[in-house]
Amino acid sequence: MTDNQQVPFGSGMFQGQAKFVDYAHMNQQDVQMNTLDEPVLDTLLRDINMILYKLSYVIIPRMKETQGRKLRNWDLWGPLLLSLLLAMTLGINSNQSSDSIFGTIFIIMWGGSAVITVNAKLLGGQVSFFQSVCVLGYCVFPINIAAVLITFLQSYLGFFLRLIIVGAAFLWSTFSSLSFMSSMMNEEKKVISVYPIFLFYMFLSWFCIFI
Amino acid sequence: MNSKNEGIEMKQMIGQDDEQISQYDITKAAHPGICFFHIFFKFCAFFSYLFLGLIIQSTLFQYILIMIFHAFDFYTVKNITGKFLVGLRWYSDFNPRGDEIWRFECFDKCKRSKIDSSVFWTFQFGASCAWAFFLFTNVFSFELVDIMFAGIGASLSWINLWGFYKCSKDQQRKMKGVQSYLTKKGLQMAVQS
Repeated sequence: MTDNQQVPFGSGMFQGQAKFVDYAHMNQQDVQMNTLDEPVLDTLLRDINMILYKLSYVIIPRMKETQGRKLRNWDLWGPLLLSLLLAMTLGINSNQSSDSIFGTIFIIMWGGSAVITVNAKLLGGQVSFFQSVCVLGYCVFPINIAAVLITFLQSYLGFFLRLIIVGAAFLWSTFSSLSFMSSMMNEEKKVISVYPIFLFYMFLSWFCIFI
Repeated sequence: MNSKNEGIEMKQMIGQDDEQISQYDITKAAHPGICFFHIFFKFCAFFSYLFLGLIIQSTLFQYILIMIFHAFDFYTVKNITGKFLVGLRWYSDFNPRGDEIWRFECFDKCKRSKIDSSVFWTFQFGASCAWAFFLFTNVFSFELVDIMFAGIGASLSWINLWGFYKCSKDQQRKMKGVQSYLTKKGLQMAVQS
């Protein structure tokens, strides 16, 4: 250690005693520990893999708790992309102005997720805000599939067939989200916590049929 | 003796600052590509918010592009730019009990370029203020969509700014800790000698 130990204030150059400091040593499964120097492409690929994993979880919901652990790493990319996709598919073929549809779908999806999460938290559930918004957003994926099918096969599908497709998508979404959310809810108030989820997906499915 | 030492240190620091101010050259930044992307997505977001209506007729695709640029800007600044340009990182993590905790980290690797960090902070703070300005001016027109996008832009920028500010406060606290440790050591050595 020399006499001219210059340590300027604020964000500047660090000289002399440069140590690597991290606060994350407590968590054993801390993936972040290994990501400090990774190149940008690795960061992107890792995040894309997480998104795809979650989408596969929605398609084939697994009830075991261990499988659900990875879902705790929430990210809001999936809900964003799914909401944009839904707004786009419903906006393309609709009679009403597409920007009002975009606004409506966007606000319903994000606002609805926020309201359901706040409701669950107020009823005593052990749920983190962003995790729950993430799960609710990802579980819109089946409704997205239904919307895409309806948009592209519009001339071939009668009303009754559309109803069946959307109904199946709605049940699939609700079941997927329940398999994660129910573990976080308060046991006695399960029904009143789950009912808004039911309403939320029904509202979005309604949009698919009638717009 | 010690006040004299500190006086010499202060003069050396000020001298160094003068040299560094004359070296603000973007081509000498340690990560010019990352600086470019830091600025690029912000520019895209502003450009699409203000001018995309003149290029693309369909409002739906305008909105989708604006949202995508906002999201890209937030993700780039949080995960990529902050790490490489200023060596700070903030994220949420889970303790073994399953509760969510927020972590604010800084890594003191040597050779943190002053140009990089000034680019980072200038553009982040500038973009945040600009979005707040747009939000404020749009609140009185009743264009809800404009308000929504300016609001989303402002909130994402300010959230990033807040996160990195908390990291850098920890960093400054640590630097002050290092400084006081060094002055204590200096005192001990002076006393012993």
